[in-house]
Amino acid sequence: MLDMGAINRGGVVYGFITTGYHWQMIRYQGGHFTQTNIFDVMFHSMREEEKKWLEDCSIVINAILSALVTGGS
Amino acid sequence: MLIPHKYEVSYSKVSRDEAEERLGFLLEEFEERAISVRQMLAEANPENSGLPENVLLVIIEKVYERILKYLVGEGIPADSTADFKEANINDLVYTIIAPVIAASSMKLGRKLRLRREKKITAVDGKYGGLEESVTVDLIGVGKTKFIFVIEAKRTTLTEAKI
Repeated sequence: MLDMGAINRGGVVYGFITTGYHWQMIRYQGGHFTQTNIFDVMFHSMREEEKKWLEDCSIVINAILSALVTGGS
Repeated sequence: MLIPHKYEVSYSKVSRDEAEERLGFLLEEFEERAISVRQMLAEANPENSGLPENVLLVIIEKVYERILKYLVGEGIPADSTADFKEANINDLVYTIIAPVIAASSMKLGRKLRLRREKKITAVDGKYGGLEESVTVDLIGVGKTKFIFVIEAKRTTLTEAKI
């Protein structure tokens, strides 16, 4: 991410790290790294509990969208 | 800016000490602090995704269905399953991000592409390596911008950061 930021000549670059189940988002901007709390994108009973998935897990989509909108600029 | 094509040291061979020296902070100290995802998204500028609410809801529903299909096809990601590999995690990454990139690319006015095993080389040519999943914005000749990188690891998130 450090080198991506340099190649971009500044701005913001995002990183996501994941074990599949658990995710974490990292921002590199202005020479500083910031990470989020760990969040989950799934759980075993998500087929039966769509509402719970929407509440707890769908934020990964907002996170990716946010990165797509503001990353690299 | 001309970026060197070759690098001297691969990211995978960089020691923790060396990484900390480049970054200018201790990874252990970095691990002690985090903010909520909502906080990070609120700090992004512009704050909203630029997509109408109904478009966003369609994407969310699509990703939900795709994760369910993934779980049937490849199983729940778990350390204890010997045959569950990083390639399986990368399938999940694609499962989640593909609809988001596809639906937003044109609407955001950016030419977004997902690159796999993308070579990154530091501007001084010292360090570099291949990154599994990198999303780029194709602005023009020699003007590709890096948007985000996704690193998958079977075991722990901390391992993925190093």
